[in-house]
Amino acid sequence: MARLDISQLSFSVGDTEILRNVDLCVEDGKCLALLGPSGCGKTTTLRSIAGFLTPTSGEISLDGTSVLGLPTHKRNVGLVFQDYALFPHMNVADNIAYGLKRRKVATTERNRRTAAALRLVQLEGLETRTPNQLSGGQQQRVALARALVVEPDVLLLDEPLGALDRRLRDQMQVELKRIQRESGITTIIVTHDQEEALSLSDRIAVMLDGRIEETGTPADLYRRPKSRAVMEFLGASNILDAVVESGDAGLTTVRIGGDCSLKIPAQAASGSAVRLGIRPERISIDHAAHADGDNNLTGRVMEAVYKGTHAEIYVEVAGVAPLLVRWRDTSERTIEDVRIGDTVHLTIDPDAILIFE
Amino acid sequence: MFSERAYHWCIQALGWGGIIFLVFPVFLTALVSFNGSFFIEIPPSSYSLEWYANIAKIHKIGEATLVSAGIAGLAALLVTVLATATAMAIVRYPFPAKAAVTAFLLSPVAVPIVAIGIALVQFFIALDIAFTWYSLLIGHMVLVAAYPVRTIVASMTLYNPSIEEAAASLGANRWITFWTVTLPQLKPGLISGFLFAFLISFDNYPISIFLVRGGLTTMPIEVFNYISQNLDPTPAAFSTIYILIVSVVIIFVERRYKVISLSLGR
Repeated sequence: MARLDISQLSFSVGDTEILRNVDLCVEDGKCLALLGPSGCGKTTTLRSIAGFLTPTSGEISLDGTSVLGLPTHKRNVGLVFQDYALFPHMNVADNIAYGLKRRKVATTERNRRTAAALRLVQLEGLETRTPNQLSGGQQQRVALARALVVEPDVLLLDEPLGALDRRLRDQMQVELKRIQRESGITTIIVTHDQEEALSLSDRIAVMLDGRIEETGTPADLYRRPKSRAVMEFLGASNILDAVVESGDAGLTTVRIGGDCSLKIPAQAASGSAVRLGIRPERISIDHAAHADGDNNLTGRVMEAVYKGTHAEIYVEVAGVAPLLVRWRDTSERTIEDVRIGDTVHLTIDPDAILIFE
Repeated sequence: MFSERAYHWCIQALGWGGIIFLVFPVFLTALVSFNGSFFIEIPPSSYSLEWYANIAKIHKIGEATLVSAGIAGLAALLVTVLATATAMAIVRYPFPAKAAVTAFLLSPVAVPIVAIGIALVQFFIALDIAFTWYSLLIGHMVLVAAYPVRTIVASMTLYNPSIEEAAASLGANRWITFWTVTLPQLKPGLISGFLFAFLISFDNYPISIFLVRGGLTTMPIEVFNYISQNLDPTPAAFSTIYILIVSVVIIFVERRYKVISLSLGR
């Protein structure tokens, strides 16, 4: 267990910059998700920490000691690969004991720790199976046990749930969270799946185009992202172009197109162009017209997509880009009441509007 | 579904036809070896084991078989070791003129064996080691090198290289990773490559005939000499034993190591 610090990490192949001055820090025992689209450099960061790649410049240290000079096998990092990379010619117990054998742990101690690791991932009784006799979820657990049993300073998970089907993924999410908490190992999860990042980690670092765009707790990043890119990447969002009309008493009026304007709780120079970000669930939608007030819009239903827990409704507002609105059924109203072409009234809470330049 | 049935019938007929075509000579050899008379007759008018007892009469057959086995075993072993390194280079690392080198390494399969034999003799004469046991060994290594390179390259491209990274992350250095992870994964390729090399070297006639003089001789040369001077079924008896041993070895290896493509190719 250790604190991981990465500073000014860069990696280039020829003229292509894959990592650009990446700064990251994971506190002892915490779990950080490195979230980004494919090709953003998150796997390169992970491989640099593991020692499979030598960065062009920058520093990686564990508890303040640089690990850059060390080859992979001396770094004490645990890795869970996307495809698990279990040893196909060894059974489950031998797979898990592999790292202990390399560390010359005595047989009795090795057996004790292997058994404990199997218990942690709830695979007791499968010791003598070979990897090809296991389901995807079981292979995932073996890979996890194999990485954890050596008590690594840092645990690195590469798209840990990517290869599992939906149900298993939800189940393993809970499992993974429990295992990470119980083992207390500093963890980095690399993922392109925002839900995985939001649910598994203590902190998220959003990575775009080779740099860390923003870091924060899952709730912070979701509710108050500092950039449009992070807002768009993390969950569904509406991004609107707007022009500042006037400002008074903390509320600024912006025109979002046509004759629609919104009041936003921010100061901006009159005439300047801004971008607004609004989460779909922060827009209320109703068939009945609202009483007079701020931030009311009227539109027409273009499309409604039912998602089970909620529905997503695309609303066309004259002069404005289509707005995505989240609909929840209540005892009074259900999604069946919404028909394409219906006129609906939207209200946006000023506090729910984020402003990006 | 007439066309469906006709298709299956066609495939079955072709399959059985192929099997019969391949097995018939083997079956015939075995049948002839139990022939009771001196002349080869089909079907035999009487049966005996006389020709099996006569195997010992083939000139230097014991000594020649041992030489062949020794050469084949050592050539196959050395070539398999070399092929492992070669296959790793071909599959894992970029190097200049890779395609040309790969094609060249596999060329003994494509070049007429007689041409290789002539080239080797001239080469060994120039080195002044012609017609020695060592030159025979080297000649056979050249002959069989392509086979293990192919089988090992095949098993190398089949396995997931991230398991080596997994081993490294668990504390294994390059050597330990090679011994505990890489090598076990290559086992099917190594074993079938070794066996291919061994079998092709063991019964090779055209290369050996160029490289052998004086006291040095090999099994196929002696058997061939016997055939050219005698008409009796003794070589058939010898061949039957040979086929039996090779079949048992191949069946055992396929069962034990789940090597599938051993009986294909060549």
